[in-house]
Amino acid sequence: MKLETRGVKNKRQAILRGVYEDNLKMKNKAVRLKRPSFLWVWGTRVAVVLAGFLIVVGGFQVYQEIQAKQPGLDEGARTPVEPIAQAFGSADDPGLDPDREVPIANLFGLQVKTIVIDPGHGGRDPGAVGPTGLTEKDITLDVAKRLQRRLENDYGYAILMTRDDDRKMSLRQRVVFTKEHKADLFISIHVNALPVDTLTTIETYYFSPRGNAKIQRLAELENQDSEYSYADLGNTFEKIGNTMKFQESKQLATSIQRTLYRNIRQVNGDVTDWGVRSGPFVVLLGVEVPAVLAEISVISNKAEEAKLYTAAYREQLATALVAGVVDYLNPPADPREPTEDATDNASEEDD
Amino acid sequence: MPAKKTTKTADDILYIGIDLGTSRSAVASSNGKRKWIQSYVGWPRDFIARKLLKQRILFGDDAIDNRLSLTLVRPLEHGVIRDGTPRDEEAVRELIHHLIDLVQPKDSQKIYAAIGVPAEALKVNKLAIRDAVREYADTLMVVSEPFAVAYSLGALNNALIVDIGAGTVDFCIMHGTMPGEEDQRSLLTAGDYVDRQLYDLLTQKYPEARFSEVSVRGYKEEYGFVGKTNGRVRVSVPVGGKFTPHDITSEVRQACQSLVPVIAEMIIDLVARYEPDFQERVRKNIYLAGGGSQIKGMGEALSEALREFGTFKITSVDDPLYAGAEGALALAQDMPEEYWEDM
Repeated sequence: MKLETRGVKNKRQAILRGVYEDNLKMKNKAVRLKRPSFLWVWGTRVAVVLAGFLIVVGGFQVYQEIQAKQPGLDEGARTPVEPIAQAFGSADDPGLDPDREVPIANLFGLQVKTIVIDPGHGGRDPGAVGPTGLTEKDITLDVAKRLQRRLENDYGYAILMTRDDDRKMSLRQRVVFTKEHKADLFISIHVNALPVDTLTTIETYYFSPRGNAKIQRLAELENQDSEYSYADLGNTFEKIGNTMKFQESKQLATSIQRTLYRNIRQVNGDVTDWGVRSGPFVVLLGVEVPAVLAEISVISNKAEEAKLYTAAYREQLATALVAGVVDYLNPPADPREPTEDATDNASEEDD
Repeated sequence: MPAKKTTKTADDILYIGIDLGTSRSAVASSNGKRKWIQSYVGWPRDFIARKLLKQRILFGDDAIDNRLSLTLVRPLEHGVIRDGTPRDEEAVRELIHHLIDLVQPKDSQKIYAAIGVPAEALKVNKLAIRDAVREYADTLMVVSEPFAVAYSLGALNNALIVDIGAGTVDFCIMHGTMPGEEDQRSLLTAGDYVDRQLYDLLTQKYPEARFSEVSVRGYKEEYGFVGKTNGRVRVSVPVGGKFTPHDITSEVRQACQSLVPVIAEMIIDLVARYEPDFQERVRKNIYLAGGGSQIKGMGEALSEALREFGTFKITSVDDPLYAGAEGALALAQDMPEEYWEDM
């Protein structure tokens, strides 16, 4: 029999208690949303105010320039977001536009070889936290890995992940990573949290210097800890007139939103389509290739969180994202036709 | 001492510890039985296979040996339920059920199970794993695998566990309390990665030889080493239908060596986050567990790779196959009865 000192015995009991509490939390689905610490709350508020100020000031200047150079470019961002379902008919969604163009990359015979997938948050930054403690950072990483595997194995793209484990990366680091690896596409995966905890929505963003107040708030949250100053981004704001990236991002966002919504709706009738939107997300601005940010689910909804706990649902989300990327790169003849049903692929068995 | 087993006798309850691994799963129970199997589940492909095999489902080596007649599933990959298909989740349930059956609980006994799973699985698959076990256990708890190993070693303080599995290498720092997320990391460069490297190296060097994934994994498990070796590794491989000897020494070394830098880097990254005096103590208390810890010379190679950061004492656990299951069992037995009742 092992001889234990009192200190060791106390440690053992504390550890057993920890295991018990951890499992109890897992079991008990009625745990409240985690409360962030006092310092974190106030740190966040200060960061949000500063970020908001920079974005609004910068965004306004750039917006004026863009309007002068590219009239009509930012129509989507100016379109007020409807409170709930704004299906594919939103002004920002060219999915039903009969004049939808093929990607410019295809037009010029440019090949997309390398895609960067960016699982949002990580490390000490959990992102949004669900009612029973499931964290956005874990879901984004899991779905990103599934997306990576399918795009690599089934379609042969070279996939790079900004993070493939649980670590914190600033937005600047994510942007630098994407530039250094000369990526052709950038897809950032996030999970939303909403004040109305009965809503489940899907929405996909591309960059524009302005959004409505709601989008502005979301962008402020996602832009926290970016490590960018306005001075860093000034030149990039100036270059926003380089519309190839802008237009391509919009098309990629449209394709992803369409397949995500259509396929997830089949397994989750409660999901609401919030459409394609544009907003001032720093991570989308920093990269120089078509870039989108997909809010693939809503973790604050208890029923949705329960679904997110299941590998099958996360696989469906990943498969729908794959279909969106593949559709963008190889557009169907008629975008009005239903997209290939990604959920069929998700349920295929691998022998 | 915890108030365990004060209201029930040992015969009333069977405590079970399970190590649910990507490649192998092990079970140990309070009736003294312990078993392990390869984490494969197979269903007969058609009625002919069913008639031939006379079984509804096969596990482990039986499943591998009869794989041509089966729909074969290895349900865990990179530490999580693989594709999330209903078949994968069913495979996990069947695997757990089989592991519990292997230790032969009595009909009258309640089953209290503690399941060790890869750290990554804990984060997103914990409910799925709980659901999978719920049907077969009266009450259960889920813990991370390296933590279960630490518990079995009694390495509760000033220690680092490195569990080198097939799907993941899991790291867990122990500092006298329940390890949090910040104390645990997972790497996907693990045993399966070594298998793929070795397969690629061998097929490049000997394109005419017929290697298989199963045989390559076997070479790694039997001959795996890093650093120096006294002998050569020679295996017989079919070439044009005839078994021919092949020297695979340098390929085995190169493939196994690929784990060393990534593990060393993660050890430094983890340890460096703590205060200097704690770092000093942890450096002398690093344990290697999991199948990968059996690669000859791994401890020495890691110490060498870490030399520039100081002296590291790295020890392989004595019983790597069962360390996780025994740790989960010890945890189950030490857990106060009232804690179990809440589960």
